[in-house]
Amino acid sequence: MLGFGDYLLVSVILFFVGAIGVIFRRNLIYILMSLEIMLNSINITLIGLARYSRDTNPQVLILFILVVAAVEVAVGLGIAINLMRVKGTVDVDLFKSLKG
Amino acid sequence: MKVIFYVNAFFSLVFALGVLFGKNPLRSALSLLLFFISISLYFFFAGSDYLGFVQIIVYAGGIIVLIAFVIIILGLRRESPDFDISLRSFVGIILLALFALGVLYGMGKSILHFVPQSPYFDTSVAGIGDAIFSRYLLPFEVASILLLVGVVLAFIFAKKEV
Amino acid sequence: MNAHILLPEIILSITAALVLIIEFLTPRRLQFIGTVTILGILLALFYDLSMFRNAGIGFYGMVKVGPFDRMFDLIFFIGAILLILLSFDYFVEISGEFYFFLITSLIGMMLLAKSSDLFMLFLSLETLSFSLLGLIGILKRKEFVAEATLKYFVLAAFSSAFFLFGIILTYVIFQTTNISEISNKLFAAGLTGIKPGIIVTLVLLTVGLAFKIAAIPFHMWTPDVYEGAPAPVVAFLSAGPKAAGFAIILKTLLSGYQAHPEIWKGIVTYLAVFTMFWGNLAALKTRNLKRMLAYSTIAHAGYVLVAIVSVNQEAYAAIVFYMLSYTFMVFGAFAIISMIGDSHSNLEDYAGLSRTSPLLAFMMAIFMISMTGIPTTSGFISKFYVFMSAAKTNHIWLVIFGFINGAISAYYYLRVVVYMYMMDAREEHAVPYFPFLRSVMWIAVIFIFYLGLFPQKVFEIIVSTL
Repeated sequence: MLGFGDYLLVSVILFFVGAIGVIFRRNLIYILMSLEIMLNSINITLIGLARYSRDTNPQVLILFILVVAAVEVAVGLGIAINLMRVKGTVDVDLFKSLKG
Repeated sequence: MKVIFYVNAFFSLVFALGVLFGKNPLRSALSLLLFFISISLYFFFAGSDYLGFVQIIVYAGGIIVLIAFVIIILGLRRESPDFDISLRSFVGIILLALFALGVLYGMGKSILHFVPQSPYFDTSVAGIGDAIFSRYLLPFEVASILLLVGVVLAFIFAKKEV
Repeated sequence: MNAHILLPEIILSITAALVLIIEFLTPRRLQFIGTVTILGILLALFYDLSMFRNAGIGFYGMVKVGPFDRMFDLIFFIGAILLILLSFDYFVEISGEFYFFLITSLIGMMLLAKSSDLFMLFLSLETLSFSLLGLIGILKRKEFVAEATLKYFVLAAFSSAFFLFGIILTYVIFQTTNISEISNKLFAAGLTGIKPGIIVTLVLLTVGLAFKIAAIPFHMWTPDVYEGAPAPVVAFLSAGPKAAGFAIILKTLLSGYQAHPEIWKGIVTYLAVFTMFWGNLAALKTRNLKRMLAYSTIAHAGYVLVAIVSVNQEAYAAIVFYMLSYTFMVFGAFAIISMIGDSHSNLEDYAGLSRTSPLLAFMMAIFMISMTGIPTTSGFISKFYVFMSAAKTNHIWLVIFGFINGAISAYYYLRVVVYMYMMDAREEHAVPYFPFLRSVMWIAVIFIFYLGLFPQKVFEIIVSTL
């Protein structure tokens, strides 16, 4: 019998995979895609919640998360284009400082 | 039902890993597209058809096209793999794994008593619309401001002149 | 629905739209657009103050407004107006969207302080983060700025994903995202059976919050963004959004989980101690003033977290007082950094400043002394209130750690003064006269001494709003 726990399990694992992507990759485009994976995996928990607590509201939250994800991608790609113009690369080194 | 669910889960994991370990950006974008479609299947499973279609239309139709478009503009072809193989990222991954296990453990202990909120589960567009324009009216307005900020921001960063 | 309690936000939204239209019709007339923005902000401030004592719940429980939240609004408004004044002299040629982002970030912060629903909190947090991104990246063609923008964007998105996951798991546990309902459920049912889940969600929420207030372990964006971003924006970053971050902590931890403060107290105590020590120790070795102030802002976040750990009314007032006085200190310091120039922010560039421009050196010395926390300045009084509340609630170790940190921080703040007064300049260059930057400097100095010498009245007003 399928339960909420299954939804949660899948959701956490996919969230974890997305988070690894953000840490593990240096290319901004890949980081953006990994962020999308993270946000989408949260939606799995929400739809499970909607189904098993018989609540309409989580579905609305999914729509709002979709808005946030869309904004994130649009802004991130804008930054990527700007970075390509300024530096000629879209590679990021999150943990290194600007200098030294 | 459970088998189908987990087959889908397996595929979404494979597609997510395909994004993660991809070397060709366009191919990763394609993998992400399949990932989005597999996510929409969860919505169909739960009976929320509307969200499933919105997921496909917005993510597959909008976001993936945007990503693919930018990959082509920037000319990101087959690059040398950009994995951050350092002690730091491995520590990060181990911490994340511990965190994932912690979440599963903590939530697994806590969701045992799960009480249904109401006798029925409204998946219709009308029900969702009702919720948006009553209880979630203010978040809806804030989301519109957020979208406006996002549009202006993307425009500012992407335009040629300073 | 009670829409009128959000009248200031509505006015600001209209102003934001107006700014975009003006920028479209007559591009790049910064002073004109800035003046329109200031007028809009003043109008919103007027309505905010006229409704100061009106408390209410609106929009189906999404916002809950009390006088205490309007106190936070005041800090945000002060920060925004000072930023506009700084921007008149600092930016020569930018697009007018700068002011649009300023207003939307203001809306985001105000809604953050007022929202009583976790999901509402998340959406306003995103609005705030993206607007700040516009402010940081307004000079996008500079390499430093491009990199700072990128770093802020990725880390903001990453941490807000964790924050969102925390919210959703809270939703799973409590079947509601409304903070007062969560609080009621905790009072009624207690922690039995859900404690592990609550700890997990609190850790996730803390990740998102720690990013906003620049606390350990999500502080690493601060030095880079501070060094890369334009000085006025940095001042705004460390005043407004930081206060907003503390407003969220007050909302979620203190009112949501007020039935069981012991479950989050441990996390926040460690956060406070590590943040204080790391910020101060890292500031010791840097020789760049902007970077140093970035580390110092991390340390200041640690001090405020001390006030949060001591859960009582006075501590809440101490937080607001601290952020108010910190706003003036940081704006004053960054006004002077703007005058000297962003690219000349190494300590060596400040050597001999007392001879080339004695007034600026004297003012900078005042700001540094105030940040150290030496009496007669507001920095001392705000630290005093924070550690007083900690001592009253028997957090003696936190007070001792606070004093040790105060001593450490004196070294690097006073080093700036030593450089200005005792070292010789390598090359002398006169600092041009900037009317707006100087006015911000004067405002900051006046308020630092006002809050430092007559704190009683302001503190009483803040306490009365609780």
